[in-house]
Amino acid sequence: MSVFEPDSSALQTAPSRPRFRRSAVATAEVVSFFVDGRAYEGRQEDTVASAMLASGLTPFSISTLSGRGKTVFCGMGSCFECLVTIDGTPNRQACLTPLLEGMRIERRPTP
Amino acid sequence: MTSFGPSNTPVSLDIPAVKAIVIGAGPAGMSAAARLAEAGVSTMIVDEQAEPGGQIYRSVTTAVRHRQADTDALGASYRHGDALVRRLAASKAIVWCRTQVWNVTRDRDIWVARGGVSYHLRPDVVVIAGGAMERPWPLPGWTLDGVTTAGALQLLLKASGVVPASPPVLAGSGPLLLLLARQLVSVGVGVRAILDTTPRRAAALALARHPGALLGRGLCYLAAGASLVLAIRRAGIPWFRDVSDISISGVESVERVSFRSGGHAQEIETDLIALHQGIISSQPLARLAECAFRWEMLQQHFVPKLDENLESTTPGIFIAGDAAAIVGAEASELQGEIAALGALRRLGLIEDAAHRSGRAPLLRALTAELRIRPFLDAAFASKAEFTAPADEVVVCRCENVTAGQIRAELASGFTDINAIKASLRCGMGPCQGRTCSPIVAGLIARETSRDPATIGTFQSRPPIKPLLISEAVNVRTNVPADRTLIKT
Repeated sequence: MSVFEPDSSALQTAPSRPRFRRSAVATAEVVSFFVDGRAYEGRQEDTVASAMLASGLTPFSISTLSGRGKTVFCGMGSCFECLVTIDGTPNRQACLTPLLEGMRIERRPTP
Repeated sequence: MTSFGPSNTPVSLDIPAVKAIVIGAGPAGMSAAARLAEAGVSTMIVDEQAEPGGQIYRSVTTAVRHRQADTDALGASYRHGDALVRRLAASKAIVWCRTQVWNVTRDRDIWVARGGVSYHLRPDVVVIAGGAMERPWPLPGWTLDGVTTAGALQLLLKASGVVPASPPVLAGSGPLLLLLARQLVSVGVGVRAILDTTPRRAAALALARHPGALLGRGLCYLAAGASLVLAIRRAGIPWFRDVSDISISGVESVERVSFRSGGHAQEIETDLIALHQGIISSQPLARLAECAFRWEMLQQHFVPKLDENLESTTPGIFIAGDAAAIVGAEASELQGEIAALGALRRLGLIEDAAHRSGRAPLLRALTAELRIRPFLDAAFASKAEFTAPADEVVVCRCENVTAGQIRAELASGFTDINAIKASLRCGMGPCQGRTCSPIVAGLIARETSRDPATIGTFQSRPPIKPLLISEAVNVRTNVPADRTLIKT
């Protein structure tokens, strides 16, 4: 375990002004999911990453090494920057994981 | 969206004895798998995404059905992917999505993780069609929240219809950057500015040097490029040329980007910037399979040595599409067919004459497709300084290793890329060096005045993607007894 405890307060605040939005009138089904215990709405065609971005939930984690916030960088499963805990399993790639109804996502410090 | 993926119930152990495995369900992989299955070969295609399409046709089946406006903005070439997915679905190929390949040996032993367990497969032939990634481009501030890539913005649009809330800054060079600009305009987002690092007369010089770009399908691509430029001009996007010295800054996340253009220092406020510096093939799988590589000067990257059937130096392992060298979607689809024919010949399922007559029209079409590539590679060439950032710039994003730390190692005599990896942990984070390997290699080449060809890359080691313990210990074996067709 690292002795350095990063300031994870950035992960606990309410959603900031979203950098992302939906492109057009959504036709797909609404999917409810939870991030750090709070409920949000996504769409059926969301990945965990796109649902979090559209809900203004960045950063996804705080690096214990650098203290910086991490979020989606490559979007295609190559960079591993978007790791989150999904339904209790840590270090899942948000950009590769389809969003499912009732999913519980946790943001936390990662290496 | 999950129709091709694992279900929540345990996956059946009774997978047929597959003779051919295709890795990657983009244009090359889909055409290879369809062709093999259509010829009666027991074929499986695996991909880590939720549905077939690769990055170029990402989520095309869902998008075409549910998101007309987005599909229109993405253009007819995107829609073409839907036909290819339907061809694959109509074939007898087993399609495993949400499946990660974590090891491939030179003897074609393959391990894949799916639904929480792993499968060990031993096919007679393998087609690696793992595609490409964006060329990493380390800049001051590129690790800030709010810095992303052109590829990521395009994939968010393709896969989920999620777009920037306000016009982003696009920075770098290459066709994808300009294509994304037009797509963002089409979906009503717009672009704050393009910071184009392409030298001003690069396109004209490249065309003069590679006039073959006017032949074959080259003219179509040049015309498409010209209409792209026109669309960006019409949209009135501020388009800064000859851009250099890009620096991104902000406290918690991106607030502004500064740069030089036309001899003047400039600054733009933004909360979102997408970087792009062309694409390079993704090679960990071919390296695990011990395929031999050579340095390709024009693409500034290694490419595997392939014969005209696209078979690598490891017998029975074929490499098609952008996984070998960047050729684009249409050429990738043709290469998938060519690799499949080569694999059929390898399996002894077609005669030499039938192989040659089947391959000839594909090779002719491929030649026509590839006419444009030398021009594109030259016009949007990567510059050596892109992999030589200032000392304070982070090179390894996972382990937070800076260019200065690598220069210090070089100065103390460590010049081997894998020695630097071991001493600094650079490339040992979750991405396993996918992002920083080309940067570290470029930095070593520049600082030691060595030919990039001699530097090599980080060693690929299994598992090439992080695994759950359950995926490492629960390995289901499906090894056919009659796997004797190819002797190595």
